[in-house]
Order: sequence, then C-alpha cells, then structure tokens
Amino acid sequence: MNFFSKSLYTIGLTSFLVTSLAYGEAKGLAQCGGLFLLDSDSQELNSSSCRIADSISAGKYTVFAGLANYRIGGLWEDDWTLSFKSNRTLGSAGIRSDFRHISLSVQASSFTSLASSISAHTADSSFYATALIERGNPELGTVRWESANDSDEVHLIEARWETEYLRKGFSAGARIAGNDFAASLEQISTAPQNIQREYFIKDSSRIWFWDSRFTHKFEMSQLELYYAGLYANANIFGNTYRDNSTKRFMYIPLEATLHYGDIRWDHQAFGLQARGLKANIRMEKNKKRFFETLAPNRLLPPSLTQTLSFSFMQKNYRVDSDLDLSAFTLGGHFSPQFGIARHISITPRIELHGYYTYNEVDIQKTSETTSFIGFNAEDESWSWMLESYGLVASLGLSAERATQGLLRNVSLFASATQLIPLKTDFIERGAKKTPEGTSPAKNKNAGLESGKIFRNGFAAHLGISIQL
Amino acid sequence: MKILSKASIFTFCTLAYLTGCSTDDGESVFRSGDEADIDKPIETQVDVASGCEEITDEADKATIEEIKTKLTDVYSTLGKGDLNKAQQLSSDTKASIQTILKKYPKSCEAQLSYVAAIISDIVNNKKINNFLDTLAARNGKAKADLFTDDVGEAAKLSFNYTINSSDEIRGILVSDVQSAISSAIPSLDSAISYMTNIANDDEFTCTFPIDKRDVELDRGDFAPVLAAMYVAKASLTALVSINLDIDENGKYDWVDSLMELGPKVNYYDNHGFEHLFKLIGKDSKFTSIHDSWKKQYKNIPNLLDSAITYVQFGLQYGLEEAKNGLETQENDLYVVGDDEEADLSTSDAQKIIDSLTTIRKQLREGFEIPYAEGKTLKVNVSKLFENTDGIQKFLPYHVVNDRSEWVNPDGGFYWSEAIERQAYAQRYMQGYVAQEYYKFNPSIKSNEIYGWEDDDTSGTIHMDIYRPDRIHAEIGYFADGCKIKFIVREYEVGGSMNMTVGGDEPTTKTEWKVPDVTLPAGMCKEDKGTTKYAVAFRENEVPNYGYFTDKSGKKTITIQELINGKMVGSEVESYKYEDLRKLIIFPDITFGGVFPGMTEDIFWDEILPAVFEDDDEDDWDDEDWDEDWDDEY
Repeated sequence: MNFFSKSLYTIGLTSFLVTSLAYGEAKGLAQCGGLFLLDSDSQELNSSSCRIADSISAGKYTVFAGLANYRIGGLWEDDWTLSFKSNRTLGSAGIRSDFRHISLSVQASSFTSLASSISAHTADSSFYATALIERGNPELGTVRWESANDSDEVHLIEARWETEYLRKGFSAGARIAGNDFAASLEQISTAPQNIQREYFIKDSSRIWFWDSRFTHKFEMSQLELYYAGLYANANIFGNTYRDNSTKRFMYIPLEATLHYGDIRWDHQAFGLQARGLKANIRMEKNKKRFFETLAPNRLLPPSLTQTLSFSFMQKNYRVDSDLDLSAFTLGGHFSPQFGIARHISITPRIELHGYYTYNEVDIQKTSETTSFIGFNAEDESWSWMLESYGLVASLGLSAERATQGLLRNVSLFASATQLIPLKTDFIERGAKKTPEGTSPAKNKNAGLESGKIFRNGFAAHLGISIQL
Repeated sequence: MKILSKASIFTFCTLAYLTGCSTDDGESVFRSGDEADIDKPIETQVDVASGCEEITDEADKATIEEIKTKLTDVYSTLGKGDLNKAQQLSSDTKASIQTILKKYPKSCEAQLSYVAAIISDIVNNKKINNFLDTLAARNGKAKADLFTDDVGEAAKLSFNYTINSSDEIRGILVSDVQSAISSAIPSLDSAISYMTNIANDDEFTCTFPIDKRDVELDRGDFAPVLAAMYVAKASLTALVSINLDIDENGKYDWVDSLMELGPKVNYYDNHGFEHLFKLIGKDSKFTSIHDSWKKQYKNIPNLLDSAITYVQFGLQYGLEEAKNGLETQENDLYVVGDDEEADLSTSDAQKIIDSLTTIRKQLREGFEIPYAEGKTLKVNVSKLFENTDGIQKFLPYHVVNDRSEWVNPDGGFYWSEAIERQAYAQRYMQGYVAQEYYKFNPSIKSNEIYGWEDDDTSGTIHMDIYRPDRIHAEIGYFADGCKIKFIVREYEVGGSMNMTVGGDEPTTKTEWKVPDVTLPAGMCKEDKGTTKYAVAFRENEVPNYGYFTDKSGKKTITIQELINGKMVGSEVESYKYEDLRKLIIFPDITFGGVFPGMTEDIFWDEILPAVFEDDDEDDWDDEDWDEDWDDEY
C-alpha cells in the first residue's frame, strides 16, 4: 500500500484517485481510505473516500457496477475563511464485452460522465492497444469565502464550480519474455459552464497526461520503472450572475507541469524503492482589462454605491505567483506472508522511506486604485521556502482466505502511514513596494510556521475484497 | 467587504477635497469676491459659454495635454494622501490652466481641466489649510494623516474635536470651522457651473493618461462627478447653516465641569448641566439656521434633487453607449453592458435609475417606515429643511429650575425619620464628601463613592480612588437633626495590593478632615420635634432639574416624579404611557410636519410601546438580573 506515502506528496484529490483505482481489478470490493495532510487551527486539508464495487461475468460479457463516496475539504482562515468542499456519492455501471481480438467497454457514472473504450490485442495478449473517450459534466465542488465581519457589504460568497470535460486517451503495451512495457497518453479538455447562481466558478482547461511503465520479471524478483508526466493549462473564472447578466470578478490563469519517476525492486517479502517528483505551478498576471485577478467592485451587490465606486474608487488586484515543488524518497518494505490456517494467510507490512523535499512559493500582488483621473499602484511580494527531510513510516496488515469450494476468495487489508519530519526549515519573506521605496511587510501567515504543515500528515486505509 | 467602507470614505474625502477650491487667491480669473463668512454667504454666478469648442492651435493642444498629465499626477498624489506634494503640483498647473481658459473660454477640455484643478486645490484654501494645520498640530499628526480611511481613527478625531475639548484643540470654535468651510462653497459653485456645461454636451469626451492608457471620460463620468459636487454643496451648506455653537462666550469650560462629574461627584451644583439645559432652552439659537443662510439651507432638497438627476443622466448615457457594445466604451472608466467583459449590467443600471426616481419622489413627498407589524409611519424629510428655528420648539412644554432649586426634591419621595438608603441626604452627603476630598487632593482623576446606613441616623461612606494613586477611605456620618458630622475612620494609601492574607489592613495617617454640613431644607425638615428626611421612592440620583407643564405653563410632572414613579396603596408603580400622555405635552407632535401622520394616540399608544418594547420594566425580573451578573463575572 505504498501508494499512500506517494500520495502524501500530492494533494488530496490525487490521493483519492489513486486509492480508488488500486483495487480496480477485484471482483467484489469494499474499501475506505483517507488522507489527512494538514489539520491546524487555521488551515486544513483532508480527503477521504469509500467505495464498493462488484462484477458478474457471463461468457464474453462482464457487467460491473460500483458506488463511491468521496469527501475533499480544504480550509484557510485569515481575516476571512476560505474553504473548498466536495462531498459526493457516485454510482457507476458498465458493461464490457471481450471478443477474440477486441474488447469493448462502456461505463456511465452519475458524475455525470460516459466513457467508452475499445481495446485490440493479440490472441495471447502479448500486444495490446486501447483507445478511450469520455465525456462528463461534473460539479467539482463548492468554494466558500466568508468574511469575519457579518456587516461587511459582501460577507459570504458561495460559488459552485461545474465543468464540462472531454477526455481522450490512448494506451499500448507489450509483454515479451518476462518484459512488460506499457505507455499511455491522455488529454482532458474542459469547456466553461455558466450556471445561474449568484456566484459561480468556471474553467477552461487543457490537461495532458502521459506515463510509461516497464517491468522485468526475474526468477525470484521483479524490477519496475515508472514515469508519469502532466501538463495543465487552466483558466479559472469567478463570476456573478444576476438578471441574465454575468460579470467576471476573478481570473486565475494557471500553468502546471509535473514529473514523477519511480524505480522499485521487489524480491519476495522485500522491496526497495526510489521516487522523485518535481512540479511547478505558475500564475502570470494579465494586464488586460477584465482579466484582473480580483476586481472587487464587480463583486459588490448592485447598488448606487457600486455604481459610483466605478468612478470614484475602483480597486483591482493582479497577482503573479510561482510555486516549485520537489520531493525525493528512498526506502523499502518488508512484508512476509504467514499461513495461519489452511487457506488463510496474513501479511504484515512494514515500510520505511527517507524523504527530502524543497518547496518555494513566490507571490507578487499589485493593488491598483483608480479614482476619477487619479491612479495608484502598490506592489507587495512574499515568498515562502520550505525544506524538510525525515521519514515516512507505514504499517499495514492484510489477511486473505483462498477460494475453497463454493466460498469466494476474501481478503481484508488495513494500513496507516505517518510522516515524521526530522528537520524542517520554513522561511517567509515579505516586502511592500510603493513608489517611495520598499518596506518590509508583516508576517501574514503565522499559521504556517516551521514544520506545522507536515506535523499532522497521516493517511489511513481499510478494505475488503471478495473474489471468485 | 472593507471596500465599501473604504469607498464611502474615499467618496467623502473626494467631497472634502471639493471644499478646497481656492478663490481667495489674487490670480484667480473667477474671483468670487471677498472671503465668505458664516454670517455672509457668497452667491457665485459664473457665466459659462455654453457648448464645447475644439482647441485648434497645435501648440495649445500640446499644452492642454501636458496639463492633463500633470492633473492626473495631482490626483494620484492626492490618492496617496501626500497633500504637500499635491499642493506643489497643483499650483504649478494652475497658472497654465487659467491662461488656456482665458484664451479658449468655450473649450470644454480647458473647462474640465479647470474643474479638475479646483477639485484638487484643497491645500490652497487659506482658511481650511490653517484649520487643518492647527488641528494637525494639536493632535500631533501630519496633516495628511487627518484624511484617514480608518473609521475608528476618524471618529476619534471628530470626538476629540467635538466633545473632548479639554486640551488639544481648545480655542477652535465650531463657528471657525464653519467659516472655513463656507469659504469653499463659492469655488464649488463655479466648478458646478463649468461641469454642468460639460455634462450637458453629449458629444464631448476627453482622454486622460491614466496608468499608461488613455482613459476616456464622457458624460457617463462627468455626470456622477457633478452629482458628487451637488451632494458636497448640500452637505457643506447644511454643515455651515446650522448653529452648532455650544461654546459659552468662546470657551468650552462648561464641558469640563460636565466631565468633572467623575472626580467631584458634583450633582447638585454642576455648571455643565446648567449650560446644557440652556442650549435647549427657549432663547437658545442652538440647532437653528443662521439667518443669513436660511435661503441656502431651504435650497438643500433642490441640490439633492440635482445630484440624483445627474447620476441618472450619467447612467442613461451609459445605457445608450451599451447599445453599441464596447465600441465607444473601450477606454471608459466603467463599461455598461451585459457581456462578461463589462462592469455594470444594463438591468442594474436601469434599476439604479428607477430607484433614484423613487428616492427623489420620497425626498419630496416622504416615505413610509414600518414600526410594528403591519403599521407604517410616514416620514417627510423635506420638512426638515423648512424648519429653520432649531429643535427647541418641538420639545415638550417644560421648565428648567434655577440651579439653587436642584437640591430640593420635588415629588416622587416620602418623609422618613431615618436616613434610608434612597434618602436624598445620602447622595448629598456622598457628593459633599467627594468634593471636600477633591479640595484636599485636587490631583485625583476619578473617584468612586458609595455608602450605606448603619442605623437611622448614622452610616458609612466609602471612597475609592484609583488614579493617580490607589486610595481607600471610610468616613462615618452622624446626623444630629439636619446637621451632619463626619469622622474619617480609615484612610489607606496603596490599597489592597499591599494587604497580606489575614493581616491587619494598613492605615495611613491623614490630615484630611470633613467639616460638618447642614442638609438643604428640601431634604431634611424638623417636624413636631422629630427630624424627617426626604427618601426617594426608587432612586435618589437625579437632582430636581425641572418639570413638564401643559400649554398654559401649569406644572404637570417633575423629572423626579417621572423617574421615581407614583405610590399606589403601598406599592410604587411606574407611570404608564396612558398617564404620561397627559403629563408630557408636545407643542407639535408632527415635529414640523416631518411625521405628517403622527397623532398623540399613535405616538403614545403605538410608537413608544413599539420602540421601547424590550425595555418594559415588567420583563426585568430578578432572573434577568442574575443572568447579567453571571455574564459579567
């Protein structure tokens, strides 16, 4: 279950996806997992998911269905509270037909999405290729911003985020003489969706994802090399909708790249593994009108005050930001199997990895004020650096009962992962730039002081799987 | 969001800046004449050539562009609160604007520059400048810091100015402030004349270089600015017109004696109260409109009317422009349209126009405010501007007693042979002891005094002082008829902080002695060989300040009776609204037509019970009291 420690370096959403897919081949399955990365007074980030799935095969046809619930939550408190919440129960069902050289699959989910794939393979499956196409129109979640003061003109913004996506993918693989090679390429593009809500968020994004895997089986052991890459270009818009008119108050253009590599060697109960991750998320300010990062005047409720504010007090904020993440882990696991009775075995698993991570965030904010024919711009910039090394420890246990007569194969599994930072350096710098000079800004994020971001990070997982 | 409060403050500051228009400068082409005064309003008429004419000469065109660039600098500098730099920049541009306006009196561009210069020219108004300098110096602040966007700070400053005149700003009279403000109104008038001409020409647009782009100003922007000028003129006129002279012969000493209630506990002989009553007395001019400003004051509704009209005018222009999309709006300060790339939607603009029409109607004809379930009261704001006589004539008929009468209780009490807790003598003795101590030790900042009776004719008065030193004293009193003797039993400097658990209380020796005193005749009397003391039904705190009368001047109820209630059998009962309506008589219950539908019945039977519903005494039982006590401690 080492994907848990992997997911600790990513955010909750990724964790959920990895968790859900990991046991995808099981015939019957019930499992729950959770990642609790950050839980302090003013910041929170966590996710959890539960899933049950089952399938029945009859001849060439397999019918499968599943039900999943996931929750993702994030919270940031300052003079206001910003939170993201997504809590959904998804049902999905599909059918797959396997012919001699071709498999077809169609799956629908309440996300809502519809996916279909076609695979071609040689009779012995030594070569295969799959093409996939999926279209969906999901509600991604709700972003909620609440000011500390009830009497503020705008006290609460609750914006729903819906998107429409098209996912296209192609994968191919070969198995020759103990070598297994697979590669895939996917593109997801989203189209902005206007919703008739007072506040809403929409995005126009293009995401490319590619990965490749090579596995070689030795007599007693196995070597696996894995690489994945991601490039995303997203334009996120915050809008108001009133009386058939949509106005934009927020624009966040993001560009992200991610590279992940993994080398592992497993020898029966032992395994060694090295992983590396490098990611960059960048946001560049756009000087164009109506493309301000935040334009609060357009956010105000329609009133005489709002109308006059355009002439006498127009405020705009434009933000540049650059986030660099890198992480490296090296470690291994030990998972001996014990037969405790006929057909029943238990497998404890101990995992220990050393990690090193270096992360940097730079933010530059320009606050512009236009009042009649006067104009003022003020620059502020902050940067944070986090460098940490330590251990990721994981304990797990699985129990399995083999198929016996009419009884199905049943396995139970549980695991917990904890981060143990040995040394964490956190540096925050801030400066306020005005035409008259530069003055140091005060520390605005006292909640993120040294080490706190990782202190409470842990993950847990629990599941049962039943197989014929 | 904070932006609203900041926006409103900024708008206010913009209006404040409008007041800074200079006219008392010899070079001005449009001199308004002598310095204005609150006693002598200046009527300014500027002949503005109507219509807009283009500047043809290339060199002059270049000059006006240069002027505009400088003006945006002035405004940007003002936005940063740097008044001194703005003053420098403003005076640099002023001369060239005047030259160009002389040459092209019909050029709207030159007129606009002139208006912009007037608006920014706060620092050149001598009177306001002097006033701000004085205010800043006495508050130990830089002048620019007076224009703060911190509401709390601004409120503190205003409070300091209006109430706490004890040290920093003593000497600046309200009339001085009014005089300074009134000197700005004539300039505002000429700015309004030019801006009216500019806003009336729907063809005229003017570009200003703002933030490396050319922002195009058009009627959509000129009209709201003109509206702001009208609001500024209305506010300033109101501020200048009303008599707010609370000084007494040019001094605010009376406020000091009001403030000295703390250390001296001087209830029965307080000049502060006396002056306060004078301010609302029949002969007082306080809150009336200065004779010379009555005409201007009555015109305020028309100014507000014009402001509303011009906001609508600007929005209507925006709506017209919206029909062509971004074509003519691309460089405007704000864009009206229904696309995502616009600031204000057409439906919102129309809604604002409609609501302004309603507001204008309400301003003229009044509006209804709900005060209870299904009931409304009509309020006619315009009537406020018709009354120029002040609030005095609307107060209920009443008489304020001469200060010498304050010690003699009048109603709401009984005679007792004991000096009970609520005897007026108790409060009198406490005040007397406090004043005596203040004479002995004038350095104290405040004291707390309380006491109780030990038996019918003797008791203990406690005095606690916290600043500058902690002092506690216990004074025993002994009544011999109406004559009271005092003994300082304990006097302790340093206070309980020095006490050790179980140890003796340290007592400091003192020279302080409290001389005997004779209670005033109204509080104590000899009756057939026994001494009797006046005891309030409920509380003995309020002196006999005065009483209410009917129209003919016949006494109906005293203040002390009102507070202490009436004796019904052996129980004290509060006066009910149905009692009070016969005792407190308003000369004009409609308050000069501000509440045209108001009648005695509605006022006493509906409005007051609705407003004071939660304060009903019956609801205030012991349970509430306990809860409050628990909350606090």
